[in-house]
Amino acid sequence: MPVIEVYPERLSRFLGIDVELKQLVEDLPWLATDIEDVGEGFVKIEYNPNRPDFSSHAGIARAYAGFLEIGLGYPEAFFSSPTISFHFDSRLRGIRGVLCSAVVRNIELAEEDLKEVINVQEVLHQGVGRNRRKVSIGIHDLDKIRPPVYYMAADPDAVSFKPLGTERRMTLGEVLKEVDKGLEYGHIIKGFDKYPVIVDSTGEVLSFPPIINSELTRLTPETRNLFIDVTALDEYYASRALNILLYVFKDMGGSIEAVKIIYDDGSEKTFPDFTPKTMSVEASYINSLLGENLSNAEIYRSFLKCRFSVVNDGSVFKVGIPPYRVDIMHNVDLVEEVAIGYGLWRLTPTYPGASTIGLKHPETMVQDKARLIMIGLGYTEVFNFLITNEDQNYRMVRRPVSERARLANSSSVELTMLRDSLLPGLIRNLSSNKHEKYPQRIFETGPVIRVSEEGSVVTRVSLAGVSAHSSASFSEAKSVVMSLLNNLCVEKALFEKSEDPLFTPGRVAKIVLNSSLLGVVGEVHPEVLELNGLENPAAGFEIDLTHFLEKYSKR
Amino acid sequence: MESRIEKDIVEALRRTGRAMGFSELCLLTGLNESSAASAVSSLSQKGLISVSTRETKFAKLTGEGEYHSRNGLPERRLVKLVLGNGGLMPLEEARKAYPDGSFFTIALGWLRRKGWGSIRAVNGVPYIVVEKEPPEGVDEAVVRTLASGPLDISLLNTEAVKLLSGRGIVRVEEKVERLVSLTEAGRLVELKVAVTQLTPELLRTGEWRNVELKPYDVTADVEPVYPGRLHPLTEFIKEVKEIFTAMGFTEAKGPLVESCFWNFDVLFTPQDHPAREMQDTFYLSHPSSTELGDRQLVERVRRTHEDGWETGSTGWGGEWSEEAAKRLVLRTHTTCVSVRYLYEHRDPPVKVFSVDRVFRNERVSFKSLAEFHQIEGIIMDRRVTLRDLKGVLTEFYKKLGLEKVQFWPSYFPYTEPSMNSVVYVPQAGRWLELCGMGVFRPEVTKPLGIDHPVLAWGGGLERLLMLKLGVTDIRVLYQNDLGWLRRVKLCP
Repeated sequence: MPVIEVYPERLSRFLGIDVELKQLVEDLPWLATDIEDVGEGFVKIEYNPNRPDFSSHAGIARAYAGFLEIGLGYPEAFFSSPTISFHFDSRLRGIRGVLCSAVVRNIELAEEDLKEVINVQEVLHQGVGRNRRKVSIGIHDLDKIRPPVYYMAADPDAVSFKPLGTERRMTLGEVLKEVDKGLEYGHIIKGFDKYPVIVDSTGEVLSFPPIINSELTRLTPETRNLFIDVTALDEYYASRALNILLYVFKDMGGSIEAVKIIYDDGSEKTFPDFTPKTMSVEASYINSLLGENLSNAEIYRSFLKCRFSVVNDGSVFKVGIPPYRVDIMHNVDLVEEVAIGYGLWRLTPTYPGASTIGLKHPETMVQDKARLIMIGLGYTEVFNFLITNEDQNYRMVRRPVSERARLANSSSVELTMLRDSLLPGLIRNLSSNKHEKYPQRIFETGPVIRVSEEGSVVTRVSLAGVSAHSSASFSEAKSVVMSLLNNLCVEKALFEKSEDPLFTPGRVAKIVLNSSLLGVVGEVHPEVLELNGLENPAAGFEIDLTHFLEKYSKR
Repeated sequence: MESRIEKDIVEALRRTGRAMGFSELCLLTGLNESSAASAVSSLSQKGLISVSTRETKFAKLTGEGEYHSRNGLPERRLVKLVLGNGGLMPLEEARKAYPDGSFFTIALGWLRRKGWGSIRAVNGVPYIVVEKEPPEGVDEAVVRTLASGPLDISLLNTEAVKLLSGRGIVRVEEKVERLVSLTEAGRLVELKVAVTQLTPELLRTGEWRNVELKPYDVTADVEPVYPGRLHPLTEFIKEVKEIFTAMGFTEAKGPLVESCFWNFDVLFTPQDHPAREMQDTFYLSHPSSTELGDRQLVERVRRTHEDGWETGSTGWGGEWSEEAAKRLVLRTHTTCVSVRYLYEHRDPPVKVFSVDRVFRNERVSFKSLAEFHQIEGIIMDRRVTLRDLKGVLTEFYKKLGLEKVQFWPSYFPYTEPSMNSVVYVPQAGRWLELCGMGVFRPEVTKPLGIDHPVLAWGGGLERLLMLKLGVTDIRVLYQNDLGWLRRVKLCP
């Protein structure tokens, strides 16, 4: 989740009143942010990805003003008519087909303002922009540009420019291969024959979205006028991202000027779009979800505190959603706004009256029973991961690699598949506990995952135990299994000669119950012991507890 | 209590009823000197006996005396010789026949002196005459007694000793000896033998009554033992499950390998949500996808994502991909378990929980694992509210021993309104962000055919357990270090 360090003095600049650090630490959590850390003169907060407008002091101040009731209701923003037009090349429709734009004039960006603007841009790229794939933003020094501006599809080798932070001109194709940002974001457009590019009337490249801007339009402390482009796959999110940024510039003192987008077919669209989206919600819906009995006046004021415009007609509230909010999709989102506006701390706990009967799952019941028996037999429980690898699950126990559930995208070579047996994990546990006192008796119960012949995932609940000491033997393991089965009320299990490479030939038996395979018991093969650096014999077993679930399922 | 040896000594003293020299004591009790000496010293320390010294005269056989003790006194041998000859034997003949010539004269002298026989001349030839076998003399008895070792002369016939010593058979020596006698306490004390281990033998014979079980130093260290025991994770999971069932919740289980559909799409997580990306979620390469089943549900979910369907939502826009929904993942939360359960139990009230494994494709470090446990609770009923959610959580935490709790507004993709809770963990002395919670969005419930509000909460189990155990590295919980497992404690 994104974080931001909030400095009280800076926040005061946007709030218009002085605030203290201590007060911020107390208040900010009520705006659905988390206090991450309180530092020297700042508080570091974590905010949720649904509120990218919290990525700047300006944005936080807008919400906090409502909380403090020094700024209630919808924060209006104005813009002047377009003087610049932006031409859209229709060949971009299938590539990156959405374009929004605006101009900000007469703004003086101090170093910290500039830093903050870049942070807002980054947060929008990450969240709403889905790592620039869905939305990306370019901010340029307007005075370096000769309008009108063109958003066009270009051949990778046809256009060249000096990417931001580099010394020489490169073609678009070269940018993808040679510049860091090109390597990082190139995958977004690589599949297309033509790449999107923004050029001005002299043909100079402003930007190669969503990859990188041109060095030409770099922002400097002397920059006073800004040109903003937003290229995207989705107009709603592009327009909101632009709004979030423009509200920050507005709060920093800039004047917004619209930009006219002209399409190939002659149609036009003007941005920004500050028209508030409206929604209606009933007081009864709000009260029933919250469990409160709020009056119309309380609901009304709660909306104002969350910076919504609101008109109420009886018990129906028609609200206008600030254009920088991207998280209001349903009436239920308005209920939460009321809860936050009203103050969540004011909702006192109640206990629901439903009378229900609780019950554990049959799997839990069987496992708990088996666990009790095992600890009674002197075994200590271990808890291993489900994710393992072929080496641990097969090779270290002499078993052949077989059909298994495999992971597609593990970040580690150690995590490649799901275990299909518990015994390899137990052998590994013995191996890492050689320094501990013997005898060592350990067990585990948990899921094992196999893949059926039809290729579907089969999950079984397994139980396995091993005993390691100087005289561990098949007979000991069999005694344990017999005691276990007996206490699990199994009387007719048969032990039959069997083979399993994990065990010593001639000292391994399969356990059969009503002609289905219940498990295996045996003496661990000396080679397995050697592979795992073990110097004490070991004997163990594994049985499938799934067989016993049925008896508990009828409850 | 006394040792067996001490008991024997006291008993011997009681039997004889008098003070006894140390060597006599050994003789009587059959003890060797060193064990008798340590027992005497121990008894004397306990005040049961007193030890004094006395000078005693001992009589012992000389070399000649030992010879005679083996063969009989010379005169006795002569008597036997003569009697063997019919009680009358010429002197010279007897002299020749006597087995040890050097003693014949002495034998003849003592024979006459003791009046055992006489010399009589028959036809001028001297004969030895013995009428009958004389009984054992006192001197002979002394020799016999001394044959087994020197003795205090006070125990022997003084005349005989004097006589024998005059004959060079016995020598009298002076010796300083320790004298052992019972004290008053020693005469009265009840004797018990001390034993360390109560044995089946002692129990069977009833002899345990006569022994005393030696007390131990109960403050001394002993060898530690470790029980076969549950893993602390299991122990804690059990505790949480018991709280849930006590509160009327039913446990649900669901697939560990889950479709994206149930893990994400049903929960209204947009298909381009960062959580669905490869670096956050484990996808399976084999098998890589599954069929989704219920076509109607799939269509409702598609519509809800694309335009909100009948839920009243705007939806996410764009095109929803069924192929993406079919992909298999390791479930990233247990919420998919809950919604599967809700889908199958649509009649209110429903209270369901799970405490189970979930997976995140994260780098394993001291604070995060790729595989961990989530606690999750769900309530669906005709009229449940956000305030109820606070109430249930407050109660749930209280049962976990967490009395102090605070709720904040928060955000989750599938709940609205949403809250976060922090609890004060007394074992750690600090606050912990524990469960996230909220009311399921209509975009989640409506397509499932649920028309009532659903309260949901969930959180990681390990972090709370870590605080309870005082563990700072989460990996410790899955390391299965036997030393740790044998010693770790989960305290209330």
